Amino acid sequence: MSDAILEVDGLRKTFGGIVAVDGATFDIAEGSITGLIGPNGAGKTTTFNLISGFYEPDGGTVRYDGRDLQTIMRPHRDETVIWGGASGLTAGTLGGVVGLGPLGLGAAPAAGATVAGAALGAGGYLAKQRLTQRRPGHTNSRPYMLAREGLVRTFQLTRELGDMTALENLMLAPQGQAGENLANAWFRRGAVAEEEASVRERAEETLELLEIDHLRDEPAGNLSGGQRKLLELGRVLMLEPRVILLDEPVAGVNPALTEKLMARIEALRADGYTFCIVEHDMEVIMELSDTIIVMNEGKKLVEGQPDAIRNDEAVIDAYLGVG
Amino acid sequence: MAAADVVISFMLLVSIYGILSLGLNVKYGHTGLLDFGHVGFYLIGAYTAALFVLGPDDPTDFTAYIIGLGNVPVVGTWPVAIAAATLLAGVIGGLVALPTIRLREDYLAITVLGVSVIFQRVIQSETWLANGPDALRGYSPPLQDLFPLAMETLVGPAMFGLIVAVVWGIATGALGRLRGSDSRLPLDGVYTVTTFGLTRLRRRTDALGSATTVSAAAGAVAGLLTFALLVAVDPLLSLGAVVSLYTWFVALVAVTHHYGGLGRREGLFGIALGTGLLVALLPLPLIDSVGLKSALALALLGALVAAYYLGVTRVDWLADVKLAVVGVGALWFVALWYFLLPILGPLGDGDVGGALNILVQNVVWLLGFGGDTGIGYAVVLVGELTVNVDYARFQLAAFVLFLAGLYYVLELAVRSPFGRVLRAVRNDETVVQSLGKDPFVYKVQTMVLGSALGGFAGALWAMYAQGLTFTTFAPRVTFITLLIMFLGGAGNNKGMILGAAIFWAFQQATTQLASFFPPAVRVNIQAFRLVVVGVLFLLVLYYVPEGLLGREEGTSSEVDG
Ligand SMILES: Nc1ncnc2c1ncn2[C@@H]1O[C@H](COP(=O)(O)OP(=O)(O)O)[C@@H](O)[C@H]1O
Ligand SMILES: [Mg+2]
Repeated sequence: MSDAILEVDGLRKTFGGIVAVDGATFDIAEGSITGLIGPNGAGKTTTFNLISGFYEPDGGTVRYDGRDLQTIMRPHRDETVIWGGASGLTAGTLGGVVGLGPLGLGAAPAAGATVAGAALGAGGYLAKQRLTQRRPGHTNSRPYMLAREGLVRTFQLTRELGDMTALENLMLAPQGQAGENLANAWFRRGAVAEEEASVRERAEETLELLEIDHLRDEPAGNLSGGQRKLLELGRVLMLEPRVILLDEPVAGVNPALTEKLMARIEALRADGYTFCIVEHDMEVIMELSDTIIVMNEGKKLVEGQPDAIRNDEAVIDAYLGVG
Repeated sequence: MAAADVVISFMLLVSIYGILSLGLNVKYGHTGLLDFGHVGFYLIGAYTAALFVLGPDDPTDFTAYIIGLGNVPVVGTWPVAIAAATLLAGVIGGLVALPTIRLREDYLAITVLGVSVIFQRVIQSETWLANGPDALRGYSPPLQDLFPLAMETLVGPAMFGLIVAVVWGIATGALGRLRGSDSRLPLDGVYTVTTFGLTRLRRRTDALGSATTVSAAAGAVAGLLTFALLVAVDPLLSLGAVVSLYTWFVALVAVTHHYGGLGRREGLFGIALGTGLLVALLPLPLIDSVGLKSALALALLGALVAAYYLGVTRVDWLADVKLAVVGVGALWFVALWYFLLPILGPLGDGDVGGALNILVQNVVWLLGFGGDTGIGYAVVLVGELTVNVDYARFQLAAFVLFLAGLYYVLELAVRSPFGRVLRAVRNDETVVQSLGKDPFVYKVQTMVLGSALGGFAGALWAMYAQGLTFTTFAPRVTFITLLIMFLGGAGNNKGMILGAAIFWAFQQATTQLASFFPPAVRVNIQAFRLVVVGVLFLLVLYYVPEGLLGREEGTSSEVDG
C-alpha cells in the first residue's frame, strides 16, 4: 500500500518469558482513523510503545513515512557534540595535567599531550558511535525524535505534569520554541515574549475546545481522570503532529464530551491528521474508525471495516463475546 | 565591633551561600537533579580563582602550587578569575554528570558525592597542585589597598560613588516592586524622588525599558551625585546618613508589606515571642556560673518553645499564622539586638551622648566609624564621630550586586520556556520525550548552570576568606546548602536567599552566645551546633516540606514590571 504512513512488519517484543507482541503486521493509511482493539493483555499498549519509540523491539520493523524508525532515532547532532566534546575535553585535560604534574614534562610536551588526549577522546567516541550504529540488530530509543517528526502518542495511564498548571502543560508542547534555548531566554527576550503570547493563545483555544478552560490555572495533579485524558489529548494537538496514537482516549470522559471529542477527531482527520486509536468502548471505536485491527496474544487477528469486524466469528470468540 | 559590622559580615556570607544555593536550586529545585556533591564545584571555583590571582610560585618558600597567574596582565585579575572559576566549574559539572545523568536520580547524587570527595582528597594529597593539606594563601582581594577610602583624592569619592550606586539601585529596585502594595506611606512620591524623576521619563519616552533599568539608572545617578558632592565639599556623613536612612525606609516598607496583613493580637504575640527570646538569653551575659546560666537559659528557652507549641496547637487564630508570628518575633528580636542592646550600657551609666553616638553608628551602617583614619565630625548632642569607608562596605556592595544580578538572571531563565521544560523534566521525563524534547540536553545544561553558580560562589569565598584549606570543602557544605534549599523552599529562588540568611543568622547568633562561655565550653558549643543544624533539617523536612516560601514558579516572560 503506497499511501501507508505507518508500516508495521513482524514486530516482536518480549518481557522475560512473556511475548507481549508476537509478529504484529499491519499498515496504517495516511489520513485514516484506525481502531486497534483486542482483549486486555493483547499487546496494544506495547505496540504503541514500540511504534512511538519508547520500547526497543526484539524483532521486526516499523516504517514511518517510508523511513525506518531506527534510522530516524539515530543519535542527533546535539548529543554527538556533547559526548564527543566531553570525551575530548576530559581526555585532553587529563593528558595535560598528568603531563605537567606527575610526569613533570615541559610546557610544549604537555601541550602535545593535551592535544593528543583531546583527539583520542573525541575520535574514540565517534568511532565507537559508528561501530555501534552499524552493528546488525542495534536499536535506538529516542522517542523525542519521532515526536519531532510528527509521530506522537498519548498514554493509557495518563502522565500529566502534576506541579504545572493545565495551561503550562499545553504550552510546553509546541516544537522548537525559541525560548527553550537558554541563550534566547536571556538575550532575545522580546522575540521570546512574542512567541510566548501566541503559544499561550493557542493553548487557551485548545483548553476551550476540550472544555477544560475553567481549569486553566489548576495544577494538573488536581485534575480528575477524564480531565487528564483531555489534557493529554490537548497536549499532543498542540504539537501539530501528522500521526496521533491515542491509548484509550475517552476512558473516564463523560458521554456528552465523548461525542464532541469524536466529532473533533473526525474534523482533524478531515484536515489530514492520521489517527490510530486503542479504545474499549465499542460504540465509539466502531463509529469512528475506517479500519479496525483486532489484536490477540500479540498478533493481528483480523483487519477490516467495522461492520465486517462486528460479525466476525473469530473476533466474537476472542473479544466481543466476552464483554 | 558595632552591630552594623556584624551584619555586614553576615550579609557577605549570605551572598556567598545564597549564590551557592541558587546553583543547587537550579539542579534540584527546578530540574529535579539531586546533587550530593555540589561542594565539589564550590571547591573548583575557589581554587581556580585563587590560582588566577596568586603570583607565580616561589620554589624556595614553603608553599607550592601548580601555577600562579597573578602577574599576567588582565588574566591575573579578579574579574577574569571569577569568570574562569565559573566557567571551569560549569564545564566540570557537565562532565561529571554526563555518564550518570541517564541513570536513576539517586545514582547521580551518589556519584557526584564521590566526585566531590575525590576533589577534596586531590587537593589534600597532591601538594604540587594547591599547597596540599596546608592553607593556600598569599593573595589579596581586589582594590583592598584603596581602603579606608581617601576622600581628598578623586579615587575615594569615585569608589564611594560606586558603593552608593549599588546600594541605591538595589534599594530603589526593591521599592519599585513594593510600591504597588497599599500602604499609608507615600511610596509613589518617594519612588519618584529616589528615581530622580526617571519613571516620568520612562512613561514619556519609553527610553527606559523596565523597572530594572530604571533602578539601575537611578543608582547610577545617585552614584554620580555622590561623587560630585564629595569632590566639591565633604559631606560624607550626611551622604552616608541619607543613603542609610533610605535603605532603612525600604526595609520598613518591606516589613509592613510582608506582615501588614497580620492582626494586632497576632503581631503582639510575635513581639512577645521575640522579647521572650531575648529574656531567655539574658542569663548568659548576666550570670557567672556556667552551670547555672546554661540551665536557666535552657529552661527559659524550653518554656518559650512550649508556649509557642501550645499556642499554635490550641489556639485557632494562632494556628493560621504560626510561621508569620515567628517571622515577626525574629525581626523584633533582631531589631532589639541591633538598636537597643548596644546603647543599654552607656544609658545605664547615664551617658546619653554616648548612647546616641552608638545609635548613629548603627543607623548609618553604610559608613565605618572609629579607626585611625577618617573624617572627623562634631555633631550636636551626639559628639565626636570619625567617619571612614572601609573595605567590608565595598565588598558588601559587590557581593550583594552579584547576588542580585545572578538572582535576576536565574529568574529570567526559570520563568522562560526553558524553565518550563526544566520543570517538566522534574515532573516526568517521559512526557518531555513524548513531546519531542530531549531531556538529556536539558539536564546537562542544568548541571552546567548550577555547577557554574557553585564555582562563582567559590570564587567569592576565595576572595572573602583570603586563604583556602581543603577542610572547608567537606561534604558538610553540600548538606548545609541542601538545608538552605529545603528551608527556603526548593524551586523558589527567593527562598535560597531567605534560607541562607536564616542559616547564617543561626551561625552568628550561636557564635555570639558561645562567647559568653569559657573557651573549653565554647568549642563544645561550636561542635554541638552541627547537631542542632541536623535536627533543624529533620524538623524542616517533617513540618514544612515545601519550605518557608514554598514553590514559586510559573512561566511569565515578564520578570519585572
Ligand atoms: N513493561 C512491561 N513489563 C513486563 N510486562 C509487560 C510490560 N508491558 C506489558 N507487559 C505485558 O505484556 C502483555 C501485553 O500488555 P499490553 O500491551 O499492556 O496489553 P493491552 O494494552 O492490549 O491491554 C501483558 O501480558 C502485560 O502484562
Ligand atoms: Mg493497554
